[in-house]
Amino acid sequence: MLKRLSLRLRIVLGVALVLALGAGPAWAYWTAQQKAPAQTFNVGHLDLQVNGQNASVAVTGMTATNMVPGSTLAGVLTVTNVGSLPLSYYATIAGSNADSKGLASSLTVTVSRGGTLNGSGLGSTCSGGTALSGASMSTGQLAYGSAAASRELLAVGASESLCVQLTLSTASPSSVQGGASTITMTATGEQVGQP
Amino acid sequence: MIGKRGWILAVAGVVLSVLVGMAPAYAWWKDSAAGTASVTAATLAPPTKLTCSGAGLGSMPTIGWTAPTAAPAPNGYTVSYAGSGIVGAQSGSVTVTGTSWQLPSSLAAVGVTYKITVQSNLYNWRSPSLGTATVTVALGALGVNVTSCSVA
Repeated sequence: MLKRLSLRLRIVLGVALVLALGAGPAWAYWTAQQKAPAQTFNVGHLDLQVNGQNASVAVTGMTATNMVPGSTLAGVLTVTNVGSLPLSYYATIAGSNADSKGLASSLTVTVSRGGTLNGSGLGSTCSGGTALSGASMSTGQLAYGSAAASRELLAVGASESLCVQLTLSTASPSSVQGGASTITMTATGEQVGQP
Repeated sequence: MIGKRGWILAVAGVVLSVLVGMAPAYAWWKDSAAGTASVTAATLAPPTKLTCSGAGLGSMPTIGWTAPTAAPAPNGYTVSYAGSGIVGAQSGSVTVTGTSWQLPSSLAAVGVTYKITVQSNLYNWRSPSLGTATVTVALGALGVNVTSCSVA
């Protein structure tokens, strides 16, 4: 009898165990959702232009042929901060010779902030404005220094005009005759606070 | 006595302290734009129409020329002379502002021939020369020098 009950008990227990194992666990998950309001993140951008262009642009009136010792050529660079952040900038100058005559190194450069351009092409000059010291073809500096303390601040939307005058030195050697050069004047704006 | 574990910890500590001590790497924004100018230098033209006049017994000739018509205008001329001969030949150059130059009597050495060229000047610029004048100094009658001149 005990053996029969024991067998039945074992069968019941076995069935119960199978059912218990086969049944999925009953979990109670609590969830809640709250939709956050949409957020807009605007990233500032740094954008400096020279004469309305982001890349390289030929400066109006700054093309001259037949320069002789003492000849001048002038033009205006308008540097504008069209970005959304204030910037500080400086300008450099570099000459590239189309031949081996080295004309670029015989040019001298002067810069005046807010200067007036007189004429166009060969013989044009700058007058008035505030003369900026340190402009030199040999050092490559056109306006302001590249060091943070030397750069010029330019607020958002602000612009500054630099009247640049090139002069072929009366001390230029005879060998520059017939030489051709391209002069590139680059304004570089940097994020304010940059070391 | 430092065990293996101790060494590892020590090295890790040094590396960590170096990393912490390094300057932070910032990414700053920069933008640039440029303007260009184009320049070409002129070429100085030589004087033209080289002439020679006034040669003869007891006189030194005068070399003349015409200013170039093409721009740029020179602001002077360089006359170069190169003498050849047994005795007394001289070479040199002079700068003049006009369009003629008379050989000085100091160049009058018997038996010397001078080749004379003229260049345009503009500050340090020099043009090529166009043509050559040849002046010869010889002994004339009664011991007086006689000069002759030609242009090629």
